[in-house]
Amino acid sequence: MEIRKLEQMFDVLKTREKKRLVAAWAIDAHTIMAVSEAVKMGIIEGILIGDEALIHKVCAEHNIDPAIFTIEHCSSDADAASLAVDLINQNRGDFLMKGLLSTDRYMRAILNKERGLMDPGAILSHVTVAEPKNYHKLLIFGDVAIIPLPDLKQKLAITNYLIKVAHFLGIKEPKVGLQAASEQTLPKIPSCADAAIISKMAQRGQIKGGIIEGPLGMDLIIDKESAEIKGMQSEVCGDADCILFPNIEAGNAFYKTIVKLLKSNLCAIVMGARVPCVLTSRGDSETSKLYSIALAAMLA
Amino acid sequence: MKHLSEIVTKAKALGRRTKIAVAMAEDANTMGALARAASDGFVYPILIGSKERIMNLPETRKMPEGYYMIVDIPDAAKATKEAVRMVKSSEADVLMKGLVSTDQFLREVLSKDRGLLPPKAVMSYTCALELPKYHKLLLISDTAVLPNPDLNQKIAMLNYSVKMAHQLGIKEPKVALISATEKVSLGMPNTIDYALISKMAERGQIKGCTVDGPLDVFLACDPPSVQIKGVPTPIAGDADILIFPNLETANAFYKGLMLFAGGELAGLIQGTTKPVVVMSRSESENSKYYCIALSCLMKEES
Repeated sequence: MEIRKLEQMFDVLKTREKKRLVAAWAIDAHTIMAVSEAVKMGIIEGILIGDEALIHKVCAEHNIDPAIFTIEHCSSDADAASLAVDLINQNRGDFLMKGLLSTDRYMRAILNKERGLMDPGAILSHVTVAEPKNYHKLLIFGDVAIIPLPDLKQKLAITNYLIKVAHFLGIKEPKVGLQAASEQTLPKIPSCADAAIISKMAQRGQIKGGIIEGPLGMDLIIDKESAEIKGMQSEVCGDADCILFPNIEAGNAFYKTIVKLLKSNLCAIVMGARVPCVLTSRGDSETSKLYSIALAAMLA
Repeated sequence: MKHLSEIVTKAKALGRRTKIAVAMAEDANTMGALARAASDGFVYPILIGSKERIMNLPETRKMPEGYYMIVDIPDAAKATKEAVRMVKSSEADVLMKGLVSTDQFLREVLSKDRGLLPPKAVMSYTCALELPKYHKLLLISDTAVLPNPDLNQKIAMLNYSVKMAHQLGIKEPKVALISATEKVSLGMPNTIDYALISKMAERGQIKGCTVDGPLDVFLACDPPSVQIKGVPTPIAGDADILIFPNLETANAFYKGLMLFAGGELAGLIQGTTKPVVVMSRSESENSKYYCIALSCLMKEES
């Protein structure tokens, strides 16, 4: 089934075997409440890693029964991160979530060469799935958080992640717009040049599973009328499922516009590790956290 | 167009004689080709060099009386200078290299104040090949001038070749950007340039032709290969123009065809304000004759 609204993920997950979420240093209300919500909905199993006493205290404060979780005790945030990664590597968990520890510490545990979650040469990147008002479908885009200025190789990896996420959401042949300063191939503008190269590679079958077009201006990607005015004939135009942004500034501004200006829902995960990783920040809404957990479970 | 002789037919049909200034018109091969073109009525050779040496060539005697002239300048450097001057000042239409080194000749063509290259223009080389086993003429670039063309130079090569194709009556030439494979690979920088160029063409930034690349020569010129490999390409094994990644590849390609496949060629320097004919001494008289005819066509409309 093709997911067209984020909440549809819940329906799909309820029909599947529950995936096991491992939350690293899950000692704060934000994390515990998000996990508890997902567990109560019946879409995942929750494993909380953290100080057991603290977890019980937070649960009591928020009327959550700690028995709905599996709790793995550990006494520091640094240990929690590596313990969480260990559980995944021992196949005792299916995907990862960050609790109250710093992003830096969380990522370091994932990236750890001996004990982490990376295959050699893998590229870690952030993928967002948004449900923007005024758009007729979900938009999957990246990278708005991890890779500041992706080079061509990283852009190829990100493009493949976008397509992969789309596939997991039931979008069979996602349309990918490669965002750039202009739809012209201007060799001196890296966003245009890289987009041209990637779209040629797709023409040659070197990127599979999606329909890729670029360089395209943002207007052409999301608005059919603009494409028609500019005479751009591509089925991606005005009907994109995915957007590759040329740099973190462009992607991040778009992300925040969706959240703050459009007040639309979105969720996100980190791709590239052996399992999907949830990386929510405290600024994210409860809904967004829940959707992010659901998204990771879809991909796990 | 299948045969280079059709270029000759077109040159004859122009109905007037193109004035060709020849720097050091002292080698038999060049003179033989010029005498043929002059006798066929489409060329008026201006032979610059030592009058004595020119008159002593048997080929000079084959020149039609009254349809050529000799300018007596025995020194190679001065003769070349004069030839370029005549073309630049429109006293002649086409410049041709005779028995002078290519280096010395091109230095004069490239001279900032006296030469024939507009500022910032790229100088390149395109030649048309007649190949017994191909169903039409095949234009290729660059076999002679640019050793390692960068992106802009590749685009210039492409545009020059397209212009030549248009002047030969090929309306929407199919241009294949030649590599060893059709895949775009970060390890092969030319394929990256090709991806950019073919996308530029897709976006209408390169006009008057259909472009695709990277492609290998099979996919460019052999429809069965296209079918077997299943690569969707608008060139479809029917290329009119091949753009090569560097001089070694292009040069080896055409020389191999001349030697082993009975090919003939006609080529010209590109980028100059007037046609410039430069051929190596080992080229056949036939090829030189075709070059001359081609230069007559290129001077039209350009």
